[in-house]
Amino acid sequence: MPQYFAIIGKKDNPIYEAEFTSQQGQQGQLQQGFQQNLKELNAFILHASLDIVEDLQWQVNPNAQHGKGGFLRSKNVTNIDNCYLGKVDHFYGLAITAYVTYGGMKLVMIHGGPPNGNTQIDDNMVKSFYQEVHELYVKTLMNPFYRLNEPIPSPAFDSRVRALARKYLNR
Amino acid sequence: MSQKIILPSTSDDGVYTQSDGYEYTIGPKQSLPNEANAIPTPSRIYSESLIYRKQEVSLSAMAFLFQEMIATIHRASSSAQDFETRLNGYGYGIGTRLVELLNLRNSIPPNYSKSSTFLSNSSSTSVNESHGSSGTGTGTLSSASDHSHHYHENGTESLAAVISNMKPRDLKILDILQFVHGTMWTYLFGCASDDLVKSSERDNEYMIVDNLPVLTQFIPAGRSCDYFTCGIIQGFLDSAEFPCRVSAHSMPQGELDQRTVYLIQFDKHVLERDNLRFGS
Amino acid sequence: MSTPTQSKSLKTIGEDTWKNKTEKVNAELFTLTYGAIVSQLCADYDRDFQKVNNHLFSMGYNIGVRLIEDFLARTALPRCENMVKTSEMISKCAFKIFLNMTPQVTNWSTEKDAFSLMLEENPLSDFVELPVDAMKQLWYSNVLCGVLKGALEMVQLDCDVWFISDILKGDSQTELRIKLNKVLKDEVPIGED
Repeated sequence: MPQYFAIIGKKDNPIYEAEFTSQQGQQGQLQQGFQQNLKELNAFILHASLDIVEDLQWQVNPNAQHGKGGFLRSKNVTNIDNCYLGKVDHFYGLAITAYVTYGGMKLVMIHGGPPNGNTQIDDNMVKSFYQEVHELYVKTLMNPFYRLNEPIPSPAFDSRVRALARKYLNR
Repeated sequence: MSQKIILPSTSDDGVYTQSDGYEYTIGPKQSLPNEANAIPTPSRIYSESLIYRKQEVSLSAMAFLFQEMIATIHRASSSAQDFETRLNGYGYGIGTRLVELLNLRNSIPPNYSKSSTFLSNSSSTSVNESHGSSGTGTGTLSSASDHSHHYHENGTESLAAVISNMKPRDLKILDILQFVHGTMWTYLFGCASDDLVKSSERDNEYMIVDNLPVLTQFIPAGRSCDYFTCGIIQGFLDSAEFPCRVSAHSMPQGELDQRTVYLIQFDKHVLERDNLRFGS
Repeated sequence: MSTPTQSKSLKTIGEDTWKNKTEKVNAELFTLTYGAIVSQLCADYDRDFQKVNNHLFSMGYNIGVRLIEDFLARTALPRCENMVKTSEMISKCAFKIFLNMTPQVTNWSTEKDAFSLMLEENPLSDFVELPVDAMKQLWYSNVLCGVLKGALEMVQLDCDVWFISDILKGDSQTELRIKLNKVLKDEVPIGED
């Protein structure tokens, strides 16, 4: 299954994008990428889902306990992971998942599925992928020469993200 | 040739396949058929662990550097306000980094560092080992760091891989302020700030109190130099999407003649969001 | 020449001072602050990295001339009689006390007037990867050269201090060179036979 992955900056600008396709087998190669005519839509589909992400990112998980402590002594015991937002949207059989970092970067992915089928998301795998890319992003950000919101042109970053995609998404 | 320039960690550029990074004017690149066999582009920053090594330097080294930074900014500034704005900018970038770094580190399970210490003791390949020992001796270091480099290129450097649940993002004003007052202050200055107070007059105002600012304790008069810390706070909060303005004020109290109050004024919409979402 | 006992005692002095007489801060605050300074200078000088090097050097020089007093006051060390002793003092005491590191002293010139410090780790350059356009010219940690230049000058040693290599530039090690030009005159010459 192909994926289109992007990191979206604070001004809704992509700072990194990649397309991942499965490596297995030669014969299915054609089906494994996004169809050419849909491919150009990816950026639009993804941007359309950003509004949903922006809403979800401020929602307290409904299962979470509202720990109301004393004033200025937060007893926030909720251990609910709210970085990974899971599947946030879908579009003609494509699924869209999202993840928000502590600094408000949005990691978003369009998951292609089998033709005319429903795309299944393996949340554990997808979440692990996002977490590891998040860490790579933090390493990028720590470099004093990198400025927030700038595109990430580093080949080292790119090759590591792609390795993570192979590890978690297209096995 | 240009490839060699991009890869600071290698002196041998022949073995690596040519690959370019993301180019935003072109858009996303597809996976290459042979990329699975390619060695990841070597890189110093991506190979090193983000784990907190608790290294220290002397306060005097920090103070000397800080004073020279102040002098550099001062020479370039046209007015006191210009100076404060510029100094704020130096801190701001640090704040934007800390919001990611400290939260990520806080997500690491508490038993992780223990097990990594164990690992490094038995195999002496961990980055902790090579850095930790370098303060006292230097003899065997280069071979140890070669080892650790290899170790990391195999993917073991990842902290995220050992995190089952990320620390939740702070959504409420009070939670994020607690983080600044507690975790961030401890990281920067060795202890939590002396107080965190809500303004009784204005809803959007909060104060962080420092009885003796570490960085400016040797700099007499005025709180201008504390705009570095203002910038760190502001960068942290802005980046976490709690946009605000931060200013430093001298508020001596008894013998605490350097007591400093950092006034945080959140944008109105932050308050509205807090009210809407959490009905406080 | 330094004898093992001398260097051991310098090592002990350095470690003892670091351990017991030194207030400390998180090295990452230091790293991040220095990073903010260098990246801002690169922008201010419009990526003229030679000017950035010079600026970092002069910042370091200003630090060095003041730092030496702090250093001598805290260690109460006597004046060094030769460059070998000086090198030990820089490595085992000065670097230890200020940055909690002990660079290796090596590559002595035959006249024993020049040596190298190998910075196995460098708190200034953690997290750093140089941008492509800075790889050739920028000496990221050049402030250290200035500090050494300024501090040595205050003890009447006129030296040249410069980086030979830096792992940030893709070199296999970070090597800093110190060469004595002359012992300044307005003081009693130190330990020349």
